[in-house]
Amino acid sequence: MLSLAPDEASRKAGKALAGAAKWVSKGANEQALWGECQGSGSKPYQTQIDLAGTAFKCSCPSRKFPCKHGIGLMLLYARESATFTDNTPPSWVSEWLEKRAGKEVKKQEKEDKPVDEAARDKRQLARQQKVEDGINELLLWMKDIIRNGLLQLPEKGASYWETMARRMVDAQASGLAAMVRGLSEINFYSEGWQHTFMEQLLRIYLVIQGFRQGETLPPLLQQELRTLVGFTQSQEALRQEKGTKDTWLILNKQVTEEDNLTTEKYWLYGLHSYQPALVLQFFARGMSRPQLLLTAGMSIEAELVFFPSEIPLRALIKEPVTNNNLQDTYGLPGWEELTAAETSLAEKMPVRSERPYIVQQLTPVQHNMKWWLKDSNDRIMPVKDGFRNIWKLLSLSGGQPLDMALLGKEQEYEPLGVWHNGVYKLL
Amino acid sequence: MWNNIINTALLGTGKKQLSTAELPTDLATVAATIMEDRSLDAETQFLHIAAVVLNYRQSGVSAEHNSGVPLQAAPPEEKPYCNKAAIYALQDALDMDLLPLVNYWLEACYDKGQIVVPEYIPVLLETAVSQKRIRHLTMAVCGKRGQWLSNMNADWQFPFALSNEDRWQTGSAEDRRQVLQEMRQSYPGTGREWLMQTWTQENTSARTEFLKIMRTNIGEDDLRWLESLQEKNQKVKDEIWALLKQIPASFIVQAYWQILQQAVSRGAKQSLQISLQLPLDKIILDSGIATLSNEKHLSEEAYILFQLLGSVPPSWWESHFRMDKEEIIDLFQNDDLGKRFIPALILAAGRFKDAAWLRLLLANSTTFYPDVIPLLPAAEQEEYALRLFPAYPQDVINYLSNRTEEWGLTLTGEVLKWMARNPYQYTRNFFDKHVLQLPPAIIDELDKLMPEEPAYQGTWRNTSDHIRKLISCKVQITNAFK
Repeated sequence: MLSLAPDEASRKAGKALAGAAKWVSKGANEQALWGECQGSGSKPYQTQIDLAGTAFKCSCPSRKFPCKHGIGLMLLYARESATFTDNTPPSWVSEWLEKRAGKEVKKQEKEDKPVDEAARDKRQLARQQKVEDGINELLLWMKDIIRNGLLQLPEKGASYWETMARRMVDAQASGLAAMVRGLSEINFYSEGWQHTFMEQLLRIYLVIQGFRQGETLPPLLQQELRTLVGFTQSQEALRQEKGTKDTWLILNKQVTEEDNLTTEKYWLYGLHSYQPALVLQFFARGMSRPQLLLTAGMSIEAELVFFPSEIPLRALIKEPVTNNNLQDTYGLPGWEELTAAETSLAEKMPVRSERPYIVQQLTPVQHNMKWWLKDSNDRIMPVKDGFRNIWKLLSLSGGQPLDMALLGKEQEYEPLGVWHNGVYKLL
Repeated sequence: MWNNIINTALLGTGKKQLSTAELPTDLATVAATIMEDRSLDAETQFLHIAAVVLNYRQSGVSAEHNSGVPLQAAPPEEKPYCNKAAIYALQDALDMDLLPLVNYWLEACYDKGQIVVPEYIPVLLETAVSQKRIRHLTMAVCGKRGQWLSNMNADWQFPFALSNEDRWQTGSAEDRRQVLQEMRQSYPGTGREWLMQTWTQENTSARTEFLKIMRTNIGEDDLRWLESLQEKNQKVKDEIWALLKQIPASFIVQAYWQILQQAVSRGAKQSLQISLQLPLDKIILDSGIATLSNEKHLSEEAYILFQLLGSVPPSWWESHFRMDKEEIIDLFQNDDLGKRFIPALILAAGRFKDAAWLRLLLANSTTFYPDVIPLLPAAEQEEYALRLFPAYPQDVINYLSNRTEEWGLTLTGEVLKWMARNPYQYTRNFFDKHVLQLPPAIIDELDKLMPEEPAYQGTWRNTSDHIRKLISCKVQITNAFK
């Protein structure tokens, strides 16, 4: 429940509000939770939670979402549900619930409306043309960079990159826009920036070249390249596809926040399918959180539908079932097997992001003033630069090998968690 | 090969052409096809070849065959790990960022002879970096794994393995003060001997600091050394005097007594006779007896007598007057001038740790003496503090803040009731610092302490919630190590 909190401060504030004394009134039924919390103002704040859709609403002026009152009320309900004796929602709760239900019906009606196919085809053709035009400009820009040399890049201002990124947005190629922004995010004062830059530039180039090959490529690869360019995939349609049912280990979670948009990345691994998966959740401040509540370090019984790809990774959770403790699983025996798997992935899809692996019996060792992970065949791979939890990893290892969940690609891996005395510990 | 690509890109294809000769033979055919395609411009050719090379590189990664510098495995632990409940309590204390609770946790774990699980070792060691006082305890609780880990991190190499004697000889100033304090507490004689051994090498400020610590368990054994010291610095001299004035057998206390015996005697009909004509040697004045009164109602001479009276054991009056304690107190009490010296007797009882005298003197006292009461058993201290709380609320709170033991329930109730009405003076911060002194049973009383003033009620509600949270963490720790 606490992982719902947008930040550490809200988590603490929410905990502090989870006392019965804070609430002037409170009630609950199957559909919702509600309560009035005495704040600093004269009127108590009205806090309500739609349990079915996990949505929050509160009359407090906080910009955080959910606010501390929402978290406090949920915690209080979890601790002392028996004290929520009032089952009839007051008007301010029932009105809100009705309004939400109304919105759902409208959405359904919209989905059921017949599609004008001719108009749709026309729209698609126009879009294709726009994207093509954008790509031509992008290629010209990239060639300019190559002709004039990378040495001049550190002096370029933010507008140099942003103008091209915006041009890609105008050309309805949001994926390429994001990749161009990726170039501007490179730290031009760090050592080896030219390598990082060149890799990213070539990734863009590969996506463009692949996209232009069009139908000569396998259908899955075509779809993935279209996604990378910026053609979105209907998640609703995807959800209708048949997925992979398995016990999914939630190896770890990474959260980033930018421009009020929070991105949660959950790294999953199928217990029986050995299939890694990446589940993304986005939410903006002031908007409802996605329904999914996943806890890193646990596992879920669920059906996952993967986005079309030759090397599936990103997925949607179709039917999350129950949270369980994370179980032991099969891992690759060593680095040789991992690099072989990487090579076979690179063969299918040269533009890849990092993915999770589980490798057996890795020991942290030092080499060339850096931390490396050694497998049972004395092969070593460097730990990703800047990995923050190296001391926790060392402490758990005590110099002994551990089965480890890792995230990475090519030649850099970041430990996500380890199995310590049969229990999975997050790093 | 890849570096070749980078170097060309850095300068730009306008200035440097990519040499395909350095490419691996696997790529020769592909590269030749690209370079021969006249429809492609130089930049496209470069991007084509670079993309091929990138793919070639990422498809051929293999792990280095090298055993690196292996870590010597951590030695096995000798003590058992603490239980899960203890770990949850530690996590709560760390979440609240409350050092007193973390410290309490460490002590409880150490007392129980247990150690912390490995994943918490780094966070505890990191806390100990900035908190010198908990370093020893932290290292002990982190067990063998903690020692093994700290050897690899320069920030965590605390001087753990050192004995007290080594710490005294080689430690930092803070470390040495801590060692001397510990020694004076348990082995005052050894503590003094260690100080005597290094005395000539200590600078003035260290000498002053160490002498202050010597007040702990000061006694006759320390006398010879203290009387032999020939110091020039006034601050050091003042500290030596302060110590000598606490030892009844010292020449200065004896000298005071000589004067007092002449000046205070029993007159006719159980009356007190006080002479203010005091023969004062230079040595008396050097010892810190002030000649200017800072008390309005005491003359200069009476003030000198007041100081002398406060500097001799009160029990000496029993043989001097051949009377028991109560009679002597009455004697002073019934004399107009004598009653003004009662506070001096109280100070003397405190200085010479005479609990029997102190108890009798405080029985009727209406003034709060926080410095002397620690001599009495806890229950008596609380009773006295409770009686004087209405008149000296802040002094009593200060005295309680300096106590390390848990406060009594009744007194805590009174104190919190007063704090609830003075919310701006005592905030959450105060309770964070003193959570260990709060008795857990106070949780049930908090609602009853609600101030009548509506303006203060909201704040008290928040404060009492905070106190509940703090105490529940403390109780959680206590229970986890039961």
